[in-house]
Amino acid sequence: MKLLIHDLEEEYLIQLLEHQDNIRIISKNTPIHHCIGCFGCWVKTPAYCVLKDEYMNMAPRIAACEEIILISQCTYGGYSPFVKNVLDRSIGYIHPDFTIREGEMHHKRRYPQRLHMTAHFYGEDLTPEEQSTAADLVQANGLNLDTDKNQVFFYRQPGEMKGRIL
Amino acid sequence: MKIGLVNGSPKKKNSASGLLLKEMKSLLTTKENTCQFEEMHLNEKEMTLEQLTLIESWDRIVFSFPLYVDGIPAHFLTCMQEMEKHLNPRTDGRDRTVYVMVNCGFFEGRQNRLAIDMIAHWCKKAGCIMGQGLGVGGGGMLSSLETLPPGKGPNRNLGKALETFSEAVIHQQSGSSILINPNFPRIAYRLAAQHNWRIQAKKNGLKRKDLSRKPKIR
Repeated sequence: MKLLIHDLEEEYLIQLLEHQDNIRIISKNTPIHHCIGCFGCWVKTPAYCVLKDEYMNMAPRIAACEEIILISQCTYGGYSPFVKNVLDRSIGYIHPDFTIREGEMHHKRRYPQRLHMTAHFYGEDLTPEEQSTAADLVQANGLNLDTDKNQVFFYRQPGEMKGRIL
Repeated sequence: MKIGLVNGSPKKKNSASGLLLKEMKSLLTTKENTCQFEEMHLNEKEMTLEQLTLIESWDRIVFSFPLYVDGIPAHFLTCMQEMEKHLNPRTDGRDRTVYVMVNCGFFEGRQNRLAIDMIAHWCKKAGCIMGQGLGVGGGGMLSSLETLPPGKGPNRNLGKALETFSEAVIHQQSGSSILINPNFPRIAYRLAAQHNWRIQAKKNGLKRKDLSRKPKIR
């Protein structure tokens, strides 16, 4: 199973996908609360966000997948607000305890499996510096999630992703 | 000089970002008595026209926010986009310079570097000049600032960094990022943080093993 988090119109995304088998899609179909930094997903309702909306169970949904695919407008070298919001609401996927990875403090894995992570960034006027930050961001996210493989792709238009997502 | 202090923490009170701004304001006031401050707490996605208009008049902006998933918290990112759309180049020929303090719960201040870079990229789009970034590690210990001033104990590096950073703000200078760790053993910080999770979990009626629950939804 793959989990796809994106910021496009869902109907448009479907046109870009090679198929829809074995894939869960997280779209901006309903309002999303933003993370309030309460750490309830670690110390109150482990893995689940305490804010009640469609995105409160992101961590258990990610845990049922082998790969997480992000499609995002590149925004200041990072994700767009919706994709970032979903990621902020997903930190229950990792364990509150710490470990040292590549000489830095990071969180331990909650789940035994290791994810693949692929990010597809789009944007017409991306500078080389923004692309560099975005590529480093995916590596940093991967280090914290302890993924086993990370990939980053850049496009000028979302349409260029057609047939290259799955 | 008019300095805007913007707290981007989603927490309504007692945020580490707010504490850093408080220290910065205190230092700036001591160094330069002509500073005029305007403060704003953006803990929601929406900004009012009044807030957006206020920002236009600032010579220097100091943002302070917590690191979320290696970047800018989503609600604050939405505000940054609003500010980018609203800010026009100043007509009086003066620069608008941006300074940013990012704090994270990890020990290493360098883990804030990408969020600082994102603010630098924002500056180019919003017609601002990037001044300097300060990445503060060990955010879990920043509440000690209420009893232990910067420059003392675990806040020694922070004290020096705030000193340099405040000079840059006053003289409207640009410089490379300052990334600092607390003056405290990393292993002790880690163990203290983990102990704190267990205390909080217990208060919520959880057992130690509950912290490691592994629910899945297919």
